[in-house]
Amino acid sequence: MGYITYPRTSGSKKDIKRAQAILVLIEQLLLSFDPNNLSLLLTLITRIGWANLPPALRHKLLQLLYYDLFRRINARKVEDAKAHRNTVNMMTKALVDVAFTISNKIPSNEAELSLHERLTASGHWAVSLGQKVNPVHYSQDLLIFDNGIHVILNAGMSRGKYGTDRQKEIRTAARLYDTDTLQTLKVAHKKGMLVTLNLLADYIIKGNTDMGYDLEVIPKNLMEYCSVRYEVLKLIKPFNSYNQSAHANNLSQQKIHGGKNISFAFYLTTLIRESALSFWVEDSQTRGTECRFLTIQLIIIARKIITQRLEPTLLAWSEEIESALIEFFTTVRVKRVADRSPRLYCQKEAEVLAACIKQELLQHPLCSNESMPILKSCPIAMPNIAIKLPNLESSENEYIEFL
Amino acid sequence: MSNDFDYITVNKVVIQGGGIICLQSYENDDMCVMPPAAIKKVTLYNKYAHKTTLLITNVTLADITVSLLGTIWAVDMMGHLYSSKPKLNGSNLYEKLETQAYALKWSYQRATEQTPVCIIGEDSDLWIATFEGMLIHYDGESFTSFTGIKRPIRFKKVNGDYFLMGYACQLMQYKNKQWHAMTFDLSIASDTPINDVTYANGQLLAVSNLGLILRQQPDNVFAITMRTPNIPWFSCDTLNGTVYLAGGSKGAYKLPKPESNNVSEVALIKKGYFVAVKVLDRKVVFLQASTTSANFVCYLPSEQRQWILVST
Repeated sequence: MGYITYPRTSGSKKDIKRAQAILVLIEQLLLSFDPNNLSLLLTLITRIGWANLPPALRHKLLQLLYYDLFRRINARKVEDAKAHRNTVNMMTKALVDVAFTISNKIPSNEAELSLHERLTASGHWAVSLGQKVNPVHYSQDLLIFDNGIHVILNAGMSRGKYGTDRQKEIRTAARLYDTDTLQTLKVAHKKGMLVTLNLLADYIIKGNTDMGYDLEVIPKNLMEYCSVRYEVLKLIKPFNSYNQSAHANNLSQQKIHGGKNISFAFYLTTLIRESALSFWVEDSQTRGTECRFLTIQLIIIARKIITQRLEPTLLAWSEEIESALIEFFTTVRVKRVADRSPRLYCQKEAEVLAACIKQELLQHPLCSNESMPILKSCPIAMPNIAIKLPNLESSENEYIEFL
Repeated sequence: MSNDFDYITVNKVVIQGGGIICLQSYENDDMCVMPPAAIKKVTLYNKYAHKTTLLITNVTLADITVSLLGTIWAVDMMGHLYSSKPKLNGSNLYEKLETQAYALKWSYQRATEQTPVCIIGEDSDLWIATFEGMLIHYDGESFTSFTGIKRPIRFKKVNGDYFLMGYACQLMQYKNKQWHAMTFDLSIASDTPINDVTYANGQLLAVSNLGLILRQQPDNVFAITMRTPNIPWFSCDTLNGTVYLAGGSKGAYKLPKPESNNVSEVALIKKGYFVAVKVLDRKVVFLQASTTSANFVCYLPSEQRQWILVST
């Protein structure tokens, strides 16, 4: 016996009903402001399944919310400035949440887009990234929405998604951005249109003894942001800043090093800024050590470049390093967590760490004064092999007691 | 001149006649994709050591071995095979390769376009394992390829047989002119590195830097006999039935003998950062992690002055 199938409707009935209710509330709010209507509207916004709405309805709703209603509420003349600012801020948070929820639904083939590009790719609004005039490593980033909303992006262990100490963030921003950007940022803050968002808030896990991030689920495109990279790089223990390691190496009495310090820039000292993070790898070239494994990987990349007579771009070269690092973390690097047996990194964790280091590599020339397009042939990606041979003479030495 | 380098490490020691052949690498913190390498001979006398440089190359030597006839064989990471005798044809895979021979009549030739990692064998029965997973045999005239293991760590001759071990729970034994893969208990994770193998008290023993000591059981399967989560075992070797272990930053250890009461614990014998251990001529040689000067540590269990630092 056959059965009849019906064409699927685009969107669930419940969500369409909610959308209609929101439309009514927007109309009322545009006519006259009522705090109860607004709080009802904000509740509905959090509950609605945006993906279930027909595209035209979704677009209309979002345009009304983002532009018309947001502008109207923002432009209200009220005596209690503080309360007004709180209202605007509440709505700002709700709208930022909606924007992020919708951007997460962007198809996976566009997963390589950075966050502000993904937000814009949804087609409802335009989002840009604040351009830094004075880049400092691992500092905050700034998203600027075309309706005036400003979002300072940072990352940390605090569970709250939205930070509360915006003054501190603004002080930091003052050192990073040009005066125009800073001016709009301050205006946004004054009006309640500024929020600080912890990009890693959703990926915090709490262990028995300490807190950490769930590396397996952090999206790779978040690695574009300095503050996220800083938090992720810190997970590779032991890590330190380049400064500290240089200091350790200068200790003349030190006979044995705990390990060789591999910079994230992978031997590219000319590009290493003093504030760059680095992590330690064991030993040099003895069998079974981490450094030997990395040396082999680097030589394989170098040999490929030499034998195929390639002129690698910085991007192509950093992609080679990325795959080598995925292999390093899944094959060699032991992850030690308190109270658990040591293990190697799993594929997803390794991918996130390697993506993070790759971004670091790509950022180095961007942060330095040299302009180096990542798609142009890059001299630093060429292996430096023709090194001067050491001059070794035969000699005799008395034994020293090993203490 | 050697002061130009931040780290000089002894990466392997092999016995040859009355001396110890050392493989060294020279590294800097900066700009050193390809650490240059040297092969030296160190002769130990009563109160001092005499060292002679034999060969220097500007590409990294991955491994050395010495045949029963005393020939030193080496492989570099660009795919060249080296011999301390003038028998190889000088063919080159990389135009910028530079070598400097100080002693012996060294020769080299291209062996593979893969990346050699380790070498073992005799003058007309030589094995090279590559990082990509090939086993290359050299019979003194030509090269033949076989399937090996990907990401190998080392070759070792144990109890008369060659073993090849590597990352991801891989161990092969060369028996009856064939390489055989050895099996591990299912409780051992498939990504466990097998760092070294030794033979003690009638049993094969393997170690992993995940902090595992494994023993071959009567059914030939390797099973875990000891878990030491905090000590990464890089290497092991046996002298007079006692197993010595290199425990990375945790120091040098030995295993209690089976007749001891406390067989469930390892005993620390020296603090330090040791990444390899090799018994040579009744001496236990421990190799250190990144040293600024190329030293190795010699442990002489029966002598009054038990621990000496040998400069190479």
